[in-house]
Amino acid sequence: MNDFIRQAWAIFRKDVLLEIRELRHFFAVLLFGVLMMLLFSFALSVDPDVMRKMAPGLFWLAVLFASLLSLDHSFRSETEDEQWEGLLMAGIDPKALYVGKLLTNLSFVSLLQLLLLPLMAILFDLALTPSLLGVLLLGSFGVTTLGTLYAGVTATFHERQMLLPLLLFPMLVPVLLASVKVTELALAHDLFGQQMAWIRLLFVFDTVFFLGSLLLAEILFDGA
Amino acid sequence: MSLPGKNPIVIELRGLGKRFGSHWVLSHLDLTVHAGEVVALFGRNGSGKSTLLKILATLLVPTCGSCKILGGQELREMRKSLRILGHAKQLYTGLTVLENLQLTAAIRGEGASDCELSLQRLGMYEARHRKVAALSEGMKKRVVLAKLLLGKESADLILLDEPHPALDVAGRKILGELLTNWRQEGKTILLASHDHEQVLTHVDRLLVLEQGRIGYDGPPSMTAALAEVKP
Repeated sequence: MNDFIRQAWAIFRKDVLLEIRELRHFFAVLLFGVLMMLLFSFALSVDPDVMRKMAPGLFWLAVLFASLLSLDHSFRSETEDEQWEGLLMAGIDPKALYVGKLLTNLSFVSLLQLLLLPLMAILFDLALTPSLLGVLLLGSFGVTTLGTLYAGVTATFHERQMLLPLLLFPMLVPVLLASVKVTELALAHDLFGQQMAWIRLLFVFDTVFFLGSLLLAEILFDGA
Repeated sequence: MSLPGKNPIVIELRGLGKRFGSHWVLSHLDLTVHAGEVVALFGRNGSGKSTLLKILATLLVPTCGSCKILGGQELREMRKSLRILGHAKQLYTGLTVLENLQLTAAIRGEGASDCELSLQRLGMYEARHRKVAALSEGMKKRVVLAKLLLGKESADLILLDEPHPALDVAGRKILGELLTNWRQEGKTILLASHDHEQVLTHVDRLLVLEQGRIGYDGPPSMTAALAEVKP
């Protein structure tokens, strides 16, 4: 277990260092997310009440598209000069590689959401609640568990930028639906009423996706 | 040093073949290498040297035949006892030299002090805080060699795929010293190269690959080595 944690942490630390030194990538993704939110807001300038109802869906779409860029990027450093093979030859546990990458992607997407949240509040005239943070974390965990697995699987393909959304989006539909619903309810200050069922559903999806991805990573991230 | 033939078998290939598409890169390969043997692998470009080393490193699966390495240990355990220097440098250019080594050490579970020792051995200690992107090709090759030295006690099989290119005279001298040390320590080494003069003094046995088959297997001699350049 100690080996597993040490290896996952080493991958996470390495990725964070690389991201910090190449901040332009994060800013590019953030800018993309901001542009998406602005475009949604301008394109759908309708009744403010309708806008408020649509805001969670539009927010999650912006996050999803922006996340796709970072998911695709997250394995590029492992394929530029066969670094992935180097990690395997150093004796990395493929599951630890997956968890390390998942932690990086989750941090990245969570930070992205935190920065986009105030923009959503301004554009759609919403009052933010602290419970939103937990909801967003649950949602982004669902997106990144599966996203990290698929990004790893498609990392060596020439057409990966096209393949990743084609494979990922259909699988993410349940997580996306639940995340939008829970966000909508959290904004309506009704989080612990009937809405608890949605949170449970999201939690189940997250758990199933995480355990499934972990098992598949053992096979799919092992090179030969 | 004991006679390699009396030592346990480290590599055992029987009828091994590897096909990419319709092209057989390796075919009907039989090979036995004992612990402590230092084997040079010569052959023209495309003769299958790198493919063979990748199969031995467990990074490629053979199309047919059997391949038993290090007594057929469990894959991850086996990889801990393997070291490979391939064509790719496998370095993160955005990290410093030391950070690259620390990453490998952390994954292998080696102490961080090993990293600095390895860098000193390769004459790269002064450059340890420089980003890999800012290094010359020769310096990068030295960093790759420094990575090979991490946890060298646990390395039973060392695979080197053309280690000489890009190294300057001093770098080649260090590599020569490393080969001598590894040989004295009884490591099993397979060394693919085109640099006959640099290699033949360090090896016990020479293999020449010709179109995916073993054309020569015997004592190292320049005559046999030169067979690879015949038309």
